[in-house]
Amino acid sequence: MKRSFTTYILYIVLVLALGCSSDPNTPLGSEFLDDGLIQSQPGEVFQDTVLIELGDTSFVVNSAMLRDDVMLFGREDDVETWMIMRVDFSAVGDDTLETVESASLQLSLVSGVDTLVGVFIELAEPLSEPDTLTTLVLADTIPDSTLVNVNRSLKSFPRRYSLPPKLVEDWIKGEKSHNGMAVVLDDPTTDRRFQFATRQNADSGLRPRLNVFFESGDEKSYPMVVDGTFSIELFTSSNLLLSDGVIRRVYVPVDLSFFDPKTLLHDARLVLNTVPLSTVGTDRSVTLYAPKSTNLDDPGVLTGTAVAPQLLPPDSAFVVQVVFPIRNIVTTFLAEEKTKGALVLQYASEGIGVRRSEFFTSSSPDSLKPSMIFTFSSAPEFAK
Amino acid sequence: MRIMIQMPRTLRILLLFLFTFVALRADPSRATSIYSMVFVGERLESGDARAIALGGSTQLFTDSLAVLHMNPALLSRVPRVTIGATQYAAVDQGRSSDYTERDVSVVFSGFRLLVPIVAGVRLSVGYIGRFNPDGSFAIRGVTDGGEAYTNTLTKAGGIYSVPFTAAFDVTRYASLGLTFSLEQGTVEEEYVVNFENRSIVDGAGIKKEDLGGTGFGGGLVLRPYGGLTIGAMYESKVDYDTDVQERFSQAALDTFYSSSVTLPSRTNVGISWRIRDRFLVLASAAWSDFRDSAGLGFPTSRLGEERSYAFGFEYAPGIRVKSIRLPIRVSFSFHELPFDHPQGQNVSKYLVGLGTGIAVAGGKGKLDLAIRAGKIGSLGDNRVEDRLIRIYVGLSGSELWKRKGGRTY
Repeated sequence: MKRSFTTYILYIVLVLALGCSSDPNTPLGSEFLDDGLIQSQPGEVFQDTVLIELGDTSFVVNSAMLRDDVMLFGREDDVETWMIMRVDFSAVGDDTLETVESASLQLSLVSGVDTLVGVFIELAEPLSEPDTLTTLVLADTIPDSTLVNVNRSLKSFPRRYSLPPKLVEDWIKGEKSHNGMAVVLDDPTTDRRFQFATRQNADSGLRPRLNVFFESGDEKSYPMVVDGTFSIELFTSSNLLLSDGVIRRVYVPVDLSFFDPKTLLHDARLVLNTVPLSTVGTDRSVTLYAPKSTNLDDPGVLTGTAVAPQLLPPDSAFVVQVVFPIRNIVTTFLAEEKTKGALVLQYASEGIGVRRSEFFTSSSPDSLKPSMIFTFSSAPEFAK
Repeated sequence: MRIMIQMPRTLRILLLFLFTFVALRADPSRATSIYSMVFVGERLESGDARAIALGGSTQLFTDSLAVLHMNPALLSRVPRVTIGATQYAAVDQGRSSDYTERDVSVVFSGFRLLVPIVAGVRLSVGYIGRFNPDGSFAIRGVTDGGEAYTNTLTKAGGIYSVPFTAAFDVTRYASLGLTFSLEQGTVEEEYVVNFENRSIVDGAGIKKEDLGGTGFGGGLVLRPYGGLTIGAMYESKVDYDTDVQERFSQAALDTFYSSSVTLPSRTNVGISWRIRDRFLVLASAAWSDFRDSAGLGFPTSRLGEERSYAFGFEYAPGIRVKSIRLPIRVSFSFHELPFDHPQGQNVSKYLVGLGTGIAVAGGKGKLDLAIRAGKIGSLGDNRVEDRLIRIYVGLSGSELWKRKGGRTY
């Protein structure tokens, strides 16, 4: 009996020891704080919203030649898109000794209904890929083999569009520089867009080619060394414009001079408000980064420290707040004692399609302005 | 000469038990009395469960197994190698006019090992918990933007002592004890801001004070006749050197500095009277003037004298349960805390104790149990009160300790 009793007591002691509780769930005890018996003081928690009043803007990176497995041709969402391409003549070999009897450009429509009218135009400056075009300098129009017709009806069939034999022969022999050519929309009213296969298309039979028949009876097919889409915007916006096709990024200045270094930063967020019905495109993945330079003329503004990936909301008839967590980068700014900085918003992948989203600027009403919300607390003060 | 020490089974079990106590105390306990958050914390009773049942460690005991008490002179007549340890569970219910909160915690408050050297001379070493500042409270708030948060203060740590004691008989009627102690401690205060929205990062600031110092003490016990024992003891003030670290979740705010803390001396007198080996009556008083203390950032104008009084009674034959005889112990103690709250209003602690014990290992050891109930402060006077229930378990054992080929203790 003695032994079992002792064992029982030991068991109770162990259970009590292991089962000790207790996280506080009430302010019971804070009376001593008010009374001065606990002299240390907790930090006060604040949340401040800082409106961006000046300096926010959009800037153009370039009108990228969109690189994908399709080239876009047409007009839609107030953006006109042209196909651009350059033939690969690097393997002409003895073709320079041949005389061209006929030549045609093979373009394969992979998406689109009916017909769009375009014009083939030589480019004045060499086209390369990847390219960062801001403008496209056009040169001479390329007529068909009759040398009369300029307008081409682009549709699913036929897929071959004749070119002047002499011009192609000059390209092959190097007697005329081949910088590339653009297929420019020549239809002021249309509101649709076609997709043509590019040289990256999985089906090699659909890829654009220059087909040449020589008088000797030989036939040669030249691939493209460059192809893509060039975008031209037909609209203007006073909003902060994030776009692809014409690649634009949104620049927001960050001013932390108000920040007391003796405070603890708990949270920081950048808030942008979308303009209703301004979103175009399906890929809405964006990235925020802190640029190396805050000077928009400095290439350093184009790269920096990634801050927060985000998915923009789909197009909406209402204003939608887009919130980016920026605590880490603000903490970095503060650690570097940097009171002025910037954040730049870009599409996660640029140059892949016609896209855009618009946000209200600092000249909008306060409720719509870009803003930053900081949650911080003063550091607790301990009695010395 | 090679000395082989054979440790008897009883002591092995006691040491194992002691180890378990200490191991379970690896994490600081939380929230004993609410008042423990004030100043250096609640003064710990380092007496064993029998001492607690009879009023506390300030009482005078002449039993061979009682090694956990304040007065070192009492050790001079413990006949054998003895180990004592005690641990208690506190089930405290804190109350204010608006809130009630119950907490359970476990405190390991002391142990002592005593070794007889020669007849009438004893040496001992131990661990004595002095103050326990554990506690916490939470203040809730909402930011202008609607984010709910909780600001929590947690105090943790404790101040303890490792006393080295020599006790010896001066005459047949008087014993003397001297103690040199290593005084150590850590007091931590931590404020943490937690947000309900988990995407918002919490923040914290923590102040940690590591204290180190030395102290000394002395005790005198007189046995004028029969079962009467009269004693007094003195513990010196302790000057602690303190290393202070203040760390924050924003590392740039961290600071480190040195400081000092002084805790005052304490004096204790007691009397006990054993009547025909059946009854034991005890009374004691202790006082300490905390106006002599300094450091810890406490407003000295709010400090005063700490006083405690204890009365105990033991009926040794007790009651018989089957074949076990259980002694009956009762006590009442009063303790006035060394600070006021609110300003000008003293804070008192009342405890009523009840306990018993059983002999184990054929009388070589004893297992004591005590329960104490009472309260600290009052809602009416102090706005905050604690209703206390403390359950103590103490284990002591003694054994002849043989040296191979040598003497037997």
